[in-house]
Amino acid sequence: MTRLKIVLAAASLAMMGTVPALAQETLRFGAPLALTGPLADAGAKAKQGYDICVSAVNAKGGVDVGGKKRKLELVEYDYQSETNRAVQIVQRLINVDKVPFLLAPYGSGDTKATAVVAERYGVPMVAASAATKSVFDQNFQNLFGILFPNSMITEGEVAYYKKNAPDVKRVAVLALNSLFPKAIAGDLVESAKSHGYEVVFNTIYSPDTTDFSNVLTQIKALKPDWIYATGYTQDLILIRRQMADVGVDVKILTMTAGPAYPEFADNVKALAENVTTNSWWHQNAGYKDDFLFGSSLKYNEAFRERFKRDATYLEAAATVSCETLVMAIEAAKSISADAVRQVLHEKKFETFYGPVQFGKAGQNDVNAALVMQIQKGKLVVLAPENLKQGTLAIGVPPAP
Amino acid sequence: MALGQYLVNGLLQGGLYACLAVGFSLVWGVLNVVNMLHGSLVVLGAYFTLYGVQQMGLPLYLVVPAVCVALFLFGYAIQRSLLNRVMAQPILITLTLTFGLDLIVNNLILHVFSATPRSLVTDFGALEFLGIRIPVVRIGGMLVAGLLTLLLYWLLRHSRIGRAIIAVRMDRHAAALMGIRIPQIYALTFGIGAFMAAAAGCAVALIYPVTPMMSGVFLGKAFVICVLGGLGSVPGAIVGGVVLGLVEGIGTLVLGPQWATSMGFLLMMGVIVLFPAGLAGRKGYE
Amino acid sequence: MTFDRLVFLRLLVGLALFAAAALSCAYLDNYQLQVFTTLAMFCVLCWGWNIVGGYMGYPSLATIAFFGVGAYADGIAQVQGLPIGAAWLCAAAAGAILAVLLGTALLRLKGHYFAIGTIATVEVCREISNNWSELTGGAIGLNIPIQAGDPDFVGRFFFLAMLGLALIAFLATVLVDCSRFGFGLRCIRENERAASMVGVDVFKYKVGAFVLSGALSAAAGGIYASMVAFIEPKDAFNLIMTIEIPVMVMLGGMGTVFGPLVGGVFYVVLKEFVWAYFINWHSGILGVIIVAVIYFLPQGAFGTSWSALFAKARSRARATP
Repeated sequence: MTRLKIVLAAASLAMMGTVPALAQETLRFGAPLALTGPLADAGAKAKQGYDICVSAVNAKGGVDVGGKKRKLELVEYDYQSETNRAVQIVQRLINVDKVPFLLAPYGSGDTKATAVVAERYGVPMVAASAATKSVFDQNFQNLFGILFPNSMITEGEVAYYKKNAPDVKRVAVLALNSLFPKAIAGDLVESAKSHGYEVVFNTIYSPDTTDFSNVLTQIKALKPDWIYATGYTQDLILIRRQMADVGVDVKILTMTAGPAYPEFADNVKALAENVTTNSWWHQNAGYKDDFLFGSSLKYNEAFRERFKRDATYLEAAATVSCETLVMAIEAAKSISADAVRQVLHEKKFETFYGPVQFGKAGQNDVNAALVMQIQKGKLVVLAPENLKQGTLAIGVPPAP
Repeated sequence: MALGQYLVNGLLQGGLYACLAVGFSLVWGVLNVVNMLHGSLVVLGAYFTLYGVQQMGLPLYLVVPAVCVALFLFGYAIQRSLLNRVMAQPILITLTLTFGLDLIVNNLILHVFSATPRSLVTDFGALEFLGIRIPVVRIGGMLVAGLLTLLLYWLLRHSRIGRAIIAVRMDRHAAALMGIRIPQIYALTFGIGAFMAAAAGCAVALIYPVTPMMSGVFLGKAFVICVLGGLGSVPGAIVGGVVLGLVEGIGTLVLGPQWATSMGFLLMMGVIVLFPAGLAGRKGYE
Repeated sequence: MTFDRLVFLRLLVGLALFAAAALSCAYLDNYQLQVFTTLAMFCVLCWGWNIVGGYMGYPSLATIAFFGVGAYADGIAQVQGLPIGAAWLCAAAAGAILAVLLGTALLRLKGHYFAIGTIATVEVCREISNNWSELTGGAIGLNIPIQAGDPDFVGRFFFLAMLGLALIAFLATVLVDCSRFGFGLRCIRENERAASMVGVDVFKYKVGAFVLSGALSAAAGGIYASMVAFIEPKDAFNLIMTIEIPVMVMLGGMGTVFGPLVGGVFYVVLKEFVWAYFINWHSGILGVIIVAVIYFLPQGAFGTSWSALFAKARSRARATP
């Protein structure tokens, strides 16, 4: 037991030692990150999103807390994609590192589990990666979600396709049995049914499925016009490739969320053509941001300069989760949890990510759902009308 | 014709599974070691293949043998240096040791190759006959894997080394009395196991988007196949692999894809309880 | 039951440690309490495993299956409105029932096959909880009523609860160790056929050990679930943990009373240390440590005969001129 205390003391000293003694006070946000384990890819991206926000804020001189500028800093720990570690780290951030605010870990499940702790201590936590309504169903006052609900996305998609692809009547749904993919597929089935689509196939597949050929053969026999598939990027890559193997041709193929990330197209190459997807954000969205970055496009430029690739909604949401916290602190002119929490609940934030307003349940309810399609290897925004960059191309290339 | 397609799908998958498991089965049968490192070896083979083709621009027919040989040497070295010392120990020790090694190798893979999925995309198209489609890549993968498996089978039956390996599997002490150098055989067998893992890895690289996280999935499949087919037996691994492929395929159709992965494990538990010697029986030594 | 001086000494030392731990909760902050609660949880799992894997020699990898089942049983019970204590008992009962079912099926097997059968159980349990949404919430997870109270109270409450369970596990181990039951288990480990010839009811003993182990692990899962207030299948049935438990017990010494405690503490502390300093390499370094321990201390801290080790080292030193 004494050994543990020594270790903890040494670790905290080491951490303090790495922070150079500044004349300026620092403001620290706690950030549990999945740097190893199955979520490592997403965790690394979220970290990039946070880092660019911190740099941008500090380039401005820091966070203005009632007249005094404070340098922004993140306290990061790797929770190894394990929920119980994430919970433990949040405990540490609150009790040992004494951070006044938290940025949630990646993914709906981990966000929910850590929100319990944040709520208990009354520490406001902003979540960049949870969009499912069930994450916000516990009436927490300290949990704030950047991503608007899945149902807004699916409503947006269904409405768009109804208008622009009137021949499409039958939809087949294939969803991964994990919190977010299952939930958004469920929302799509609801939206589709309410708009008069016939849902001919609606199944869930288990994680680590290594072969979709039988399921796809089943779907092929049903001759749907539209296939909606959800899952992690590697699942979607495999599905797309096996669709070509089995010879499934459809008018519209929508995948969530893989095609929003560059590695989807990198992995499937020509097969990515005409795959549609959705998103909470795209760099061409044209939002203005007077606080930081200037606009969506400028944010993406800054991101691209630093990380040598375009930002997707994942990194952008991470950045804006940090940004809204900073904006709330500046508006509240204090770092007291109560004051900032109140601002977070009331204020509408105008950011490069779009307008963010946290609703009653804590989730952002400003609908900015985007429908996108990969055309000639690039992601093109199809909807909403004011951001439109192209029109829907019907028909996914026939199998080679 | 759908039935035919379902059957073919199951068989193709089964062929891949067989290649995946044959190295694992051999090591387990001969050395009595559960090689927790196996999944990572497959992933390593896949990454090396990707590297050879994508980064170095070499053609597949050069890369595949090179990767297999490289992993053979790696496996041989690991067994000779690290595993040999714990060969006589209870299974928990060897299992934990290989688990520890797996943690190390997996961490290295994560560092060197990162977690972002990578694929080797080819556009060889598909063959179609009688209304059944088979992607050429799959056939190619099956051929390579099948050839190597047959080669292994031939090696075990007809070469001196092969006979020695089988002798060790049958009775370690008697084999030693016959003048067979046990540590050498162990190292060779482990190397062969790694070689076959690499071959499976090459096939994997052609079919799947590769991530470091796949090692666990493949290890799980290898377990199931070994139980189904019996240990240390090449025909057993083939039978086990094909059975698993078909069971998963049929399970998907009958119960739905959410049960596909559990099917294998449930079947495995059933077999363990009812037929401890595997479906192919104890007799299949080669 | 041989209640000799050694047993008495063990009880004394153990109870003293537990008393010290319980008193310390007045001085520790909430994070430290959280860490210690996790530590106590691992100790419970280790002691539970030790009965089946250490004393009886059956390498079970199903610990996490019981843990997860206990977690869900507790969650479902609490959602149905049962008070937290009753929910924990439900968890333990669920573990015991699963142990009986599983035991009758798997305990006929030996060695590797038993181990694989138990791993398969974890996978199957996870998939079932993933798919049986009506009961478990499926992939969406299960919300468990949050324990009321301010953070300090809650931290101490769960710490003491888990510590209490660890105490039960410890006492159970001491009892097993000095009783006829433990003797029978050791006989089974050495030679099962001979054991039955000596009059040990092998089947009953095996199932009994499994039930004890399962109930303890499930109870730990129950307390964990109440503490975290939200569980999902991949979290409750964590495959890595199921292999870490035997490793911890091996570090400390299998089939001993304090081995699981020492091994558990050492491993958890090591993990914290490694994880704080080597953020990117921690799983690799953990692997290196596991390998090193297997080489140099295969019997674990309590299992190794240290005097023999030193004697060997001394004689080797003397032999070299």
